[in-house]
Amino acid sequence: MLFNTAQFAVFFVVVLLVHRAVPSGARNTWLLMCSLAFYTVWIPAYLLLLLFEISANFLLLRRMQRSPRPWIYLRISVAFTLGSLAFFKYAAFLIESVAPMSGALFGVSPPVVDILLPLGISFYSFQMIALQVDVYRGAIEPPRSLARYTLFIAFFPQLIAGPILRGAEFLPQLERGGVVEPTRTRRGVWLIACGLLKKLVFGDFLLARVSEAVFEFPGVAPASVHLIAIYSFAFQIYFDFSGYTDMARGMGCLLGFDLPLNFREPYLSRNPAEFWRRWHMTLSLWLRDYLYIPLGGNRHGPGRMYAALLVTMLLGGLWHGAAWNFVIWGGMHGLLLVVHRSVVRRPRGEREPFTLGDIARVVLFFHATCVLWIFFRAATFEGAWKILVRLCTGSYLGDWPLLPTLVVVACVALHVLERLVRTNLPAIRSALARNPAGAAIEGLALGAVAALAAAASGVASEFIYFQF
Amino acid sequence: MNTHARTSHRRPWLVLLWSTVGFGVVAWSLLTLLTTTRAPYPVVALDVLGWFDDRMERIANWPPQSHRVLFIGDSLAMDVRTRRVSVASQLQKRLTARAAVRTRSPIKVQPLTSSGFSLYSHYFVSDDVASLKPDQVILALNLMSFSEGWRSRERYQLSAFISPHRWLEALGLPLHEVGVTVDRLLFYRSIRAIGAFDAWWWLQREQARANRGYWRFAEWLQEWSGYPDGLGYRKEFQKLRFRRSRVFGDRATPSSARALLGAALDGVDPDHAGLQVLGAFLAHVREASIPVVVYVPPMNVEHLRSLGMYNEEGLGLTLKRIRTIVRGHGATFVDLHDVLADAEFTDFMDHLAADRAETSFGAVADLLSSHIQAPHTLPKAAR
Repeated sequence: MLFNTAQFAVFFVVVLLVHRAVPSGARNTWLLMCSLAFYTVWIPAYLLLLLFEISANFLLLRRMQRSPRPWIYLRISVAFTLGSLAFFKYAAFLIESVAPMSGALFGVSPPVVDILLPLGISFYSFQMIALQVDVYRGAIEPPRSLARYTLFIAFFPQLIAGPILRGAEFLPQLERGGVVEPTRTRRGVWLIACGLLKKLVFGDFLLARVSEAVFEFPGVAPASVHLIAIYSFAFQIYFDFSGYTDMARGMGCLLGFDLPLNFREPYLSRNPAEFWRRWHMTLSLWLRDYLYIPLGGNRHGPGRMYAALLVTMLLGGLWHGAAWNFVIWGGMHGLLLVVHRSVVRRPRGEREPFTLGDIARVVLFFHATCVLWIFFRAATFEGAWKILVRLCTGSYLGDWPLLPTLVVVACVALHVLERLVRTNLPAIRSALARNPAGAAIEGLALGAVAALAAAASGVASEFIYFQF
Repeated sequence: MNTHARTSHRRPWLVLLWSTVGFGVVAWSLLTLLTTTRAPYPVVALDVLGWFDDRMERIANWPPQSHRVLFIGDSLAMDVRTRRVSVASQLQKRLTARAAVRTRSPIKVQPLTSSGFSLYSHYFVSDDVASLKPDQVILALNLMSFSEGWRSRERYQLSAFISPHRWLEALGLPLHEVGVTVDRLLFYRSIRAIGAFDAWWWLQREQARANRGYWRFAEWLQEWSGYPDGLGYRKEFQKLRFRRSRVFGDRATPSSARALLGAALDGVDPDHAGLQVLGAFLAHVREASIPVVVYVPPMNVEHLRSLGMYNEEGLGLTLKRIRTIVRGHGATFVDLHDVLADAEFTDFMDHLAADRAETSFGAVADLLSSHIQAPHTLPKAAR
């Protein structure tokens, strides 16, 4: 059930109405039931897999607490969760990758496997591992009951595409049972509206059509169209994913929970390190805390640090999908980080004000990101190469597709506007509250967004991040 | 202070009221814009729902006292170009002639055929099929339905026709392979139950029109700017898409044959989703004591042989497994996959050629008619 479908709208309205009607003590039980129902509607059988993984991990968590050698249970739990992820997500990829070698060496090819990827497995697996490690480290107390643990993993707004939750930030909220209050509700409504605008109007309706056509026939259109298509894809994937996250966070707010921010205008980053602090932040933090730091981080000299960065980014790329293009994409980002770390000794802090030089850095780094998106999106390496060749050798005179170009310009403006709104939110809120026409402005804007989203959903496609 | 408190209390309702106004104004403006610019109405997926209801209504008016044969199938059973000739129409001719000699009772063959109306769709509408109370059902079973490449063509919207008492059974079947999930099942059924098909269809059509409206505006902007070539790349892409479809053109390529017929040629597993769905369809119709003939339409065996892709053993296994399911449900199985020569086919999907429709569809009807029970041989309950 996608968030941008009519059936989900009906589902969520029912969830919300009952949630508001039942006593606060029963709300978590209601949300647990709804979360399991939400997962069931896809393929009912996979609910059993989810519940099995949850139960097994909960059992191991309990054992780990009581055991004098907790690391044994931690390793079993992590191996079990990663094993399940590897089987469902990477088995086919692995077999396909070794098949040619196996055929050449032994004359036998392994059988073709066709395994359906359980929805959201990458996200909930990471959430399970994070909780196990945090409890092992003594950073948090484990959930008190299986029901609480199940709701922590399966909370439906974030179950299938994040943000990846940490026990420390979400378990205490679950203990309190979600606090419904007008300010949070209002924030929730606005987050959902922003999500619909980003995902449906910009991501699906305005941006997807040019990028999809060019990636379908790489190297055919003029260079100008290729350039616009790459820009379009860069914004499409951002609006698609951040729009989804906004909707998830908005629903969380309406149910009384605060879900973490996942994006902070990533294309306004001045360097690779800053980009990864702004893009899919919950994944970046996960990779830092549970992969990069355990690999040594920056504690053992530059060589080890560069190796840890590369491995982290390669695996981060692979997390996005079981295909070589994602590995290449991750590896290239890893290289960018290594080069940046080795050249710039003291990178500019995020809080330092923008200078003219920073604008040049943002533009330069945005283009570097766009080039890497080509490898991420192209179906084949040959396709990616054709696009690069056309971009470098084609002519940019004439043949500009005007509307797609204007859409990209609007996306840039929207991205800057996002930063302004986010950093000035309290002032905007109080200005609206003081203004006698504040309710009218707010209402008209929300209504307009709803109408535009309804009109744009005729080309609704699946969220790009669902395949991960 | 009090005034402020009263205002904040009222504020959510004011916002809701203004948002309704905002929604109405923007929606009306968009509709007006689309109408003014004459943005075209494309065909949308939900069209099939309207089509099915209309057809069912027409079929329900069987001629009184006739022997009623319901022919269910997809585009392989009709001439997709002219739509004038079909297996059903040829069968009508033959059965009428035969019945006139033997029983003098009129025979009516009603086609329930449409492009893409294949295996899973048959299951979705099985109760409605039974409710028509035909004396006999003939089912054209397209072997492509067993392949993964075909599944995106199945119309999950028709799951609205699965009766609620079948839902538990439906959830046990692998219908998710064609996009039927619980939410869709409930949603489309609810839309149908409250009679909101038309309203929902209208919304879908307008949304699809908005999609076309984008290109209208893009073209207008390009013309207005004086640089009309900016959208020239679209024509280039269209040409490429057309050329690619021409590759599949009049005969299957190895890749298209593999995509569409691979599963059937390799031999389907005994627990294949398609076999389960076929079994469920037959069980429903059998509950209503309606005799069924399942036949496999002709495929271009000659061409598959020339490609070196005709796996007789694998296909034999598939047909054997279908036969087992069909006979297990008391139905008749007729295998016509190898009855026509290469010249009778028109494209890579094994549609029959329009210029030879009379003879090729006639040949299929001839072979089928001998397997169809004459009215006087039918069990009393079915008459």
